[in-house]
Amino acid sequence: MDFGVIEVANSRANAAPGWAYVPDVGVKNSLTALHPRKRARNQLATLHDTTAKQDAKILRGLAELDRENHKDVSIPIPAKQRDSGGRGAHKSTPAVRKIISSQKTFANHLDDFQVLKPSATTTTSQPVSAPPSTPAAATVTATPNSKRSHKKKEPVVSKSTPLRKVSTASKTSASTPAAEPIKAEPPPDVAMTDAPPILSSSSDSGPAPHPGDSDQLLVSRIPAMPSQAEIEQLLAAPPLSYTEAKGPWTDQDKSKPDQDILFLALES
Amino acid sequence: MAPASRRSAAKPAGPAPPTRTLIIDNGAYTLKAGFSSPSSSSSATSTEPHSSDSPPDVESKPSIIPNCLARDREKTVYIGSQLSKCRDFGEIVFRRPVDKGYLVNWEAEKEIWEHEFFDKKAPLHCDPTETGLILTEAPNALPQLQTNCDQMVFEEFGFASYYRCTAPTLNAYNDIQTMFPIPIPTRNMAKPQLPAEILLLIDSGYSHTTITPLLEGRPIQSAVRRLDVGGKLLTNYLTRLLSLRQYDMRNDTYLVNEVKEACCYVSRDLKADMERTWKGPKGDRREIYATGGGIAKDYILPDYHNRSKGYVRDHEPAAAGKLKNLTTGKSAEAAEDILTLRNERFTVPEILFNPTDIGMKQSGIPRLVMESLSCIPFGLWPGFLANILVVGGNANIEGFMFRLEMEIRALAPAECIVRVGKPADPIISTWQGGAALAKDANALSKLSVTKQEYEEHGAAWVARKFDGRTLELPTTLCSKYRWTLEVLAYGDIGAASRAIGPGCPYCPRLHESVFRMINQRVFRDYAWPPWAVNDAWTVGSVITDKH
Repeated sequence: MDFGVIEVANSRANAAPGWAYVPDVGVKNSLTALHPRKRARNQLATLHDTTAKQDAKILRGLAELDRENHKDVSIPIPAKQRDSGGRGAHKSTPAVRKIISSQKTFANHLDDFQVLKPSATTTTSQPVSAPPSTPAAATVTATPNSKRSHKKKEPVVSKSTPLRKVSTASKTSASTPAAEPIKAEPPPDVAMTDAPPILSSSSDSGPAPHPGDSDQLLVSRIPAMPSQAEIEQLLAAPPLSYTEAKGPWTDQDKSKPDQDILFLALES
Repeated sequence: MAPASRRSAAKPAGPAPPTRTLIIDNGAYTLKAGFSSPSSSSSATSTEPHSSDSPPDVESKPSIIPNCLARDREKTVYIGSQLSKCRDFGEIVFRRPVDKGYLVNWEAEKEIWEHEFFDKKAPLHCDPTETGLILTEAPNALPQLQTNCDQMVFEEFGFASYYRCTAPTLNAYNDIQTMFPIPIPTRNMAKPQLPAEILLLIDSGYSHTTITPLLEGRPIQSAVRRLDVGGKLLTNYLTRLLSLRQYDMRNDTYLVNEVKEACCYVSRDLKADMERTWKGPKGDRREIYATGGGIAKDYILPDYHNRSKGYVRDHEPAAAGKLKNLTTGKSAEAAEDILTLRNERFTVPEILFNPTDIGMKQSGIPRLVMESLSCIPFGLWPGFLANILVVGGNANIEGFMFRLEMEIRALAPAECIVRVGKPADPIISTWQGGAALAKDANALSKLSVTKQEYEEHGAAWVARKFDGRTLELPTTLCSKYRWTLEVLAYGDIGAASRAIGPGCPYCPRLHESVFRMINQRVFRDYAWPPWAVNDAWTVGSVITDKH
C-alpha cells in the first residue's frame, strides 16, 4: 500500500531558510561525559533507537502528561448533612463497603489483574476456579506459597499439568474473591441452526440491473463475504485484556524519519 | 436469549419491568445522563434541560454533568453539576472517579451519583427500585472493576434492572446513515431502531481513543484497539507548551482546556503550517511570523473579576501585553492577560495522528484503524471503511474529520469507499444510542439483568451475560430444564445438582443438540475444576437418561 517508497533520513543539517527537521543524533556529549561507565547502554544502534536515558526521560514526560492535577491533591468527600431522604439510614453490604473504602487506582487494579490473570477462569460465590482448559498453553500461576520471600508479585511459569495446580489456584481466588480473571480462549462457537443470519437479512434486492453489468471492463470486484460461521466466530471471541488492546506501533511508523522531530525540537 | 424469555414467562410472579430507564454514559470528564421510556416519542418537548420547576426533559438530550469533585482556591468543594456555580476556576483541582477511562473510585462516584440522581433535591431524581439502568464502560475493562460495578448497582443502589455495555456499542442504535457528509435518511420513526449492521466506531474521549468494529451492534472484540491519547493528554501537553513559552499554566488546566477547545485545530498540511509559524533565526525574523498567516491567535485570559470567561481573537502584533499597558499608565481593568498561540494550535491535536511526536510508541488513529481491520476478514473491509463514525469530544476539534478521512483513504485499499461521519453532537451520541435502545423495551429486556436474576444467579452469571457470550437455548424447553442448563453454563453447579429433579419431560427431539451444546459450551469453553466437571457430567447424564 505504500508502493515500497521509503523515506530516507539525512543527517545533513539544512541551512536553508525556513525551519528544518533536524535528526536527533543520539545523546549529547556533555551528558555521556558525566557517566562514562554507562557508555554501552547509551550507545545507539541505529538512528531511531533511543538510549535507556532518553527512554526514561520520555516515559517520565508521558507520565507527567497523564496526570490529573499538577500537584498531588486529595479532595475528601465533603461531610454530608443527611437530608431525611431515607438514604442515610441505608445499610451497605460488606462487599459494597469494601468497594467504597478501596482507594486503589487503576494502575493497582491492572497490576492485580496481571498477576492473577491466568490462575483461574471463573469466580462465583463459591471458589469455583480452575486453570485454563487448554493445557498446551503454559500456565502462569500466581503461587502465593512459593517464592514469597523474594518477589511477591512475580508470576511463576509452571509447565506441570494444570490439575496439580488446582488447589493453589482455588486458594488464590478464595483469598481474593474479588479478583475475576479472564477466561481461557474458547473454541469457536458452533453456529446455531436457528440463529438468525448476520449481515444477510437486507430486505431490498439491490439496485435495478443495468445493461452494462456484464461488461468485463465495468465490472467491479468486491471480496467475498465471510461465511456465517466465520462471522459467528469473530463475534464470539472474548474481549482482549487492557494491555492486549493497546494499539501497537506499526513498522511503517517506526521507519518514518521525521517521527520525533516535533518532540525533540520542542523539548530542547 | 434465555434468561429474558424466562423472565417474561414468569412475569405475573416477578416485578413488572421498570417503566423508566436511566441511561448513564459515565465518561471520565462528564457523565451524560437522562431518562428514556418506551412510551415517549423522540419528538417530545423542547424545554430547557435545566429548567428549575418542571422535571427536566431529557428525552432527546441528556444532562451533561462534570464527573468530578472539584475544589477551588477558596477550598469550596463542588460535586458534579454544582461546578456550574463556580465563578473562579483559578487553581481549581479535580478528583475524578474515572481513571484511565474506567470507573475505579466508587467512593467519589457514589457521591456524585447520589447528588445527581438519588438525593431528594437531585436534578435528575429517581427511585432506583423503579428504574432500569443502562451504564456504559470503556472497552477492555478489567473484570474486577466490572464486578465492582455490578455489585454497586444492585447491592448499593438497588436498580430494578441493569444493562452494562461498552460505550461504542450503544452508538449502533443511532441512525448512523444520517451522520455522514451526504446523509441518507433511513430511519422509520414508527419502528424501533435496529442496531446498525456494520459500523466502525472511533471514540475519542478524555482518557483515550478506542476503535471498535461493530456488527449488528455487537463488537468484534478481537479487533478493538486503543490509543492512549485523549483530551486530557492534549490539554496537559498544551499546558506544558504554554508554561514553557508563556505563563505558568500548570495549576490552571481547566483554563488550558478552554484554550484548547477554543483554539486548537488539526492541520491539513503540517509542514506548511509549521513554515508559517516559524520565527526565523535571530536577526532574520520572518515577516510571516507576526500573524502566522492567520494562524496566530490571542486568547484573552479571564481575570475572574470583570471577565469570568476567556475568549479568542485574531492576533494583533501592535496590541501590547498587560505589563506594557500598566507601565504606560493604562488602568489595571483595561489591561489584559494575553496568550498568543501559534504552532501550539495545531501541534497539540497532531498527537492524535502522530503520537510519536511526544515519544509515545504507538501509531496514530488512521494506522490503528487499519491495524484493527487487519483482524477482520477482508470481505468485511468495504463495509467498515464506508461506515466510520467518530464520537467523543475530540471529534469536535476543527479539521479532525477532514484529516482523518484523508489519512484513512490514503491507507485503505484504493477500491474501497471511505466515509467518515460524525453525529451532530459527538459528545452525547452514545447516550442517544442508549436512549434509542431503551425505547425498545423488548430488546432492552433481552440484554439487561434484573435485580432478582442477580440475586438468584450471582455476580459471575451477570458478568458472563454482559460479556455477550450467553448460552442460547431452544425456546421449546420447559423452564426447569432450561434453568438447569443455564445454571450449568453459568457456573453454579451446586444449584444445578439440587435442581435437576425429574428433568425435562418434553422435547425428546432436542436433547441431542442440547447435550452437544452443553458439551461444547460448558466443558470446552469453560474450564471447570475436576470435581465440578464430574458433577456436571452427572447432571448431563441425568438429562440424557431422562430422554
